[in-house]
Amino acid sequence: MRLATREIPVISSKALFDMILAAGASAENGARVKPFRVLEHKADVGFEAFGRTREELFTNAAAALTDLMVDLDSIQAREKIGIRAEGSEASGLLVNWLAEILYLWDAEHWLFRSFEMARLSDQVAEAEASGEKFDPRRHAVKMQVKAITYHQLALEPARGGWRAQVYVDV
Amino acid sequence: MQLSQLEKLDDYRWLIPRSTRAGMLTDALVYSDENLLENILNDLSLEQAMNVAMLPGIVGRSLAMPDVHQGYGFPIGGVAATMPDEGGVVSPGGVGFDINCGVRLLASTLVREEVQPKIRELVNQLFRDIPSGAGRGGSIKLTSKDLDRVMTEGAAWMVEQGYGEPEDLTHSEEGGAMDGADPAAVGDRPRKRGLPQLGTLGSGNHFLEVQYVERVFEPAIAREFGLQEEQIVVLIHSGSRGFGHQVCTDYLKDMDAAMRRYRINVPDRQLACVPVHSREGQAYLGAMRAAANFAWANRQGIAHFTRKAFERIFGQGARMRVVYDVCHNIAKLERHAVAGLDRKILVHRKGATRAFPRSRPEVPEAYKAVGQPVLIPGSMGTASYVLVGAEGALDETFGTTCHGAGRVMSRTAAKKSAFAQNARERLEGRGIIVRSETKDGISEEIPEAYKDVDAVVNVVHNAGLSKRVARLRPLGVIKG
Repeated sequence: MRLATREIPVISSKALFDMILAAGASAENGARVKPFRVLEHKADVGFEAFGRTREELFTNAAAALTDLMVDLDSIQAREKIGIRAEGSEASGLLVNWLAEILYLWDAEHWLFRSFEMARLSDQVAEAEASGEKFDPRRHAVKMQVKAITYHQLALEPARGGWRAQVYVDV
Repeated sequence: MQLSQLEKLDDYRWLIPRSTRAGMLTDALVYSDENLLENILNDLSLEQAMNVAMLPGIVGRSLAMPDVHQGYGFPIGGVAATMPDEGGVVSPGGVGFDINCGVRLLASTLVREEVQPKIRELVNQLFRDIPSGAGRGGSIKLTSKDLDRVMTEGAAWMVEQGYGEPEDLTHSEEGGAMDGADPAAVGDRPRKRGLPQLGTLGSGNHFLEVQYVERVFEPAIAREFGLQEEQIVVLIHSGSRGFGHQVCTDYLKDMDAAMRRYRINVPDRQLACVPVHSREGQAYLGAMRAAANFAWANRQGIAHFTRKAFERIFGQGARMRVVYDVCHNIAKLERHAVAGLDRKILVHRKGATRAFPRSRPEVPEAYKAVGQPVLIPGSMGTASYVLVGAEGALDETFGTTCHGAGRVMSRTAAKKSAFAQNARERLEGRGIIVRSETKDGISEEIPEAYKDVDAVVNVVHNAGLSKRVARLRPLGVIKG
């Protein structure tokens, strides 16, 4: 399928990519560059996430999703819960992993700040997630996400690390 | 996609022959004028309409309405029918994540000059009484048993609980509930997402508008619909909330795997589908209908809160009648003429509205003389339309017409555009009061981000798919 030019995200320049990779798991070292960025879609919205490893990629993709909904910096790591997702292959697993995080938000009002990946294969992702429940006094909802889609889904090695592209329905 | 690949049939019809791409089982047809087409060619919508033409068992053409824009798998504004008895498939992507996203129109006994002086007060009241659902749950408390009844009884369960009147049900597509809903096909997750969200508006393009009838095009039909110029009406645009989104999510995951078993190949993963006559297909349809019924119950709840808010501001005399309620994200088994024969087919309407003329038995008693009302919400702050179903839709589009204005600008582009600056003030300058749960809720949905709804409606009117009855203008908007 040919991409309409307007919809093609500008692929990150080497400089930007290196900066993003260097920022890595930026949450703890306080780096200003986030390891993800928002992509445009006519009706909806997507994001591109990066990681030095696949574990880091899954973590950063989850952070990208969360940051679309609520400002990531407003979330505190107060409690930990286990998260598990399954898939038939790696990119489907990424969709299901993100769908799990969305479900925990919409059904139980969980917001996560960071993840400790305990296990990651092509079929299973298991992590300990640190975060808190939604508190309207401290968290402002930026956008409500309905679902994670397979639209132009990508999970691929890039520049010695990993890149993911995901579109969500809003 | 280039203009040169399209064959112009007349001023409003453009054909993409099946020979355009290997794998297409049928032609695709776009309803558009030349101006709108320019925009349509700017995104992936026609590529997606061609992909839909590859669905196993498709009958007739893969159709794109003039408000078509790029979606996931199916374009938004896409229509496709399949023949279950000949291997036809059901595709959750042909319904969308927001199952039975739709529109309800309430007509009041008030006129513009009575409401305008109190519009700010009214909009604030509506905003307080109707939560968007973003971190703020609804006030309708459901038990898990209640939810089972919502899934099978839809709006009727709400009316039984006191959220409305029995006549509301007869003025709704499917009477406010589809037969064949199967609560057993709905997992725990949609239930958990849905429980606190009944009676909430949601965000994105969902809204509630207080409007007045600006112009009547067909006085005799408008009279049957109970509409006249200057009358105050309320348009509710919402769907099945997290319940429906999770049903779609769960079944997409299942179908992604099941498709391989049925040896179905589709060009886009988001088009995942299975035969209607398969275990998975039947389970999805049962769950989809449960979600559709949740959506009707949801709009019933919102209508109830709207009535209460009007009563608070204007007193007990402010009666509000349901004109109609339509769904524009759904798959339905219907009887249509296919190659001259009366056949049962599954019509997917993804961002498209049923528009049955008076000859169809599904048209409710109250509108038998004129045909089904069709409700077309414009973008925030612009016009909306009431149309009536026409015979042309039965001849060409399985009784279907457009569903709205259709986006031309992405959300991010809208937010960054110059139009987003002081969007609220500009609307207020035009006498339209807006309350939104989020700032982005306004800037992403600015009128400039959408096609001209007048142009979209002009196409379906002139193509004979439905007829203009009345145009509505907003005075107040609440958004998620």
